Amino acid sequence: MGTYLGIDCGSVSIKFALMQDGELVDKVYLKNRGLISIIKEGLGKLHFDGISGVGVTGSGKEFVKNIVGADYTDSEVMSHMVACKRQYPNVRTILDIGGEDSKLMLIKNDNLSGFQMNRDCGGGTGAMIETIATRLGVEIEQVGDIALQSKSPANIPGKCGIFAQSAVVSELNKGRPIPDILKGVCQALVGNYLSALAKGKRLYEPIVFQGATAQNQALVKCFEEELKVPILVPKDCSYMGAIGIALLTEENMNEHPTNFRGDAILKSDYTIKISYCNECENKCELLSLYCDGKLLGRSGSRCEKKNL
Amino acid sequence: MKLGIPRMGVYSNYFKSLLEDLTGCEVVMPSKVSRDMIKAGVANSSDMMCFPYKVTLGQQIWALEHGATDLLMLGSSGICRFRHYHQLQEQTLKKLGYDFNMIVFTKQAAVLRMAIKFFHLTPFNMFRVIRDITANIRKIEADTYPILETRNLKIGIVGETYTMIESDINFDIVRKLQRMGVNVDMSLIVSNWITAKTKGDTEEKEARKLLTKDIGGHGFQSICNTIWYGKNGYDGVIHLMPLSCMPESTVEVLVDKVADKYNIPLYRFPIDEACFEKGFDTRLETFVSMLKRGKR
Repeated sequence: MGTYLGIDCGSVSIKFALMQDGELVDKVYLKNRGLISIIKEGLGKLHFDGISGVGVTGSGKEFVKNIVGADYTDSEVMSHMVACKRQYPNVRTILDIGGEDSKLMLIKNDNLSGFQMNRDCGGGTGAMIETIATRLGVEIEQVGDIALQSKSPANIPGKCGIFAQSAVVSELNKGRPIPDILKGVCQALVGNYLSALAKGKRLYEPIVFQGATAQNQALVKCFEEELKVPILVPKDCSYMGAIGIALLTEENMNEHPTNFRGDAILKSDYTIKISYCNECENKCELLSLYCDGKLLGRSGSRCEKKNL
Repeated sequence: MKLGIPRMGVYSNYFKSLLEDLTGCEVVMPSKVSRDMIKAGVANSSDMMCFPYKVTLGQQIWALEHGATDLLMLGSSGICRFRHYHQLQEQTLKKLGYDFNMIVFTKQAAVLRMAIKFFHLTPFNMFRVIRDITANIRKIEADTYPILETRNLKIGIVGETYTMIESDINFDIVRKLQRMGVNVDMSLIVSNWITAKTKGDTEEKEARKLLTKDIGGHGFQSICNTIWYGKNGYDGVIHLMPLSCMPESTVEVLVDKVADKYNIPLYRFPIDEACFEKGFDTRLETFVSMLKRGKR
């Protein structure tokens, strides 16, 4: 028991979740405009009396773990899985389409039995919808509702986000209604996602859809049409990573006192220095984090000799 | 003669000094496979050539730029397109205007014939030399892949040889795994290369029922060794391969099948010039995290 803080440092946004006795008691979502200032801002917005443990996940975790004094870190895939299981204990498949990446998780017996990630291409990610929506002058939050009005979706190729855009412009010129174009884009996105990540895999029910794009009801419908089963969307789906890492931290604390730096995080001055190691041909770029002038941590050393 | 050779992973420095000792010539080998070398190799290869071809070509260009008069390249008796690499590379490099002699090293009997002619070895000291070389190779392998009791996970690696042994192209996967507390078993090591051994005869029999004819490269071995890891209590298998490797991509479905059959988690890393390290690290970390959780 106790209060556990989870921080999910994504490239697009940072999410904070406070878990108490397995319940989400507070949460903050901020766009990533610089990790250090966002960490301070997020912690400032949260309400808590004492922290029993803090966990960090996401692409920025190596950097943030030293700033907050993390007790535990884990992969974002694992964090998402654990958070989903809290709401859907029997979940077997998790579809996750984020702003700039996408993941597929297969679950068996309280663990991942397989996973796939797409970090090489923006084609199967929310970025594809965002760019097209902007070009059509549509707010990203409206895309789902507008697409649901479609009577006859346009056929948009899904393999490449850029070519999808060209197809959209061509459909616009033909006078195709915007709902049909947007539904076509959603279908293309779903098709791209399944072909890139789910090929040859059997997707067992219950299937949960989470991630930044899961609020888009048209995407949910496209998945249901394609997979022919109901798709569940959890509430707080943007916070799954932060919730998951908080839960994992609680699981792994083993009665140790927390290393959480607390108020010191907000009061300290941080500077980052970039240097290059000269000990071998790799010439690794080292990021040194200084807190009030003292070295707090260093990362980037391939052989780990210089990392702190 | 200045002999240019590509890197061979952890064996690189040893092979370089061995060749220098045996031939009495200077050997030119890059101290690491740099991004520029890969870029040069990619620029002069067809897109669909597999990554090791591009990486060795890039290193050959570097060696020629650094004064190599002769290049040494491996050949092969298997049916994978790898056996043609030296011809393709020679044509490409000569077209680029380089003047050199290509020396091809094919295995087993041909190696011995080469050794006698090239290294001026007699049958008498041949045995001693081979015994010493094998011992040195085994020592390098023992030092690179030690099994530590403190590590509580065991992962086996199957796939294509060059990608498996060259840490400059596989993002240093072995050391990363070891740092995460994993004992790594490399199924294809050079001391096996001469005989292309797999880890077991029973496994070969079973794999032969799935892949009835030869595919070349180490596709067949990937199936056999996955079975062996599954039967011998390993926690997971990593399938390391160049993205468009013909033998490995052909046997993917069979490797998946046997991993499923023996209930051993498997993750595949197809590698090419477009891969970047952060994405690779995240996947690797997730796979290890998944295996640790399964062992709780």
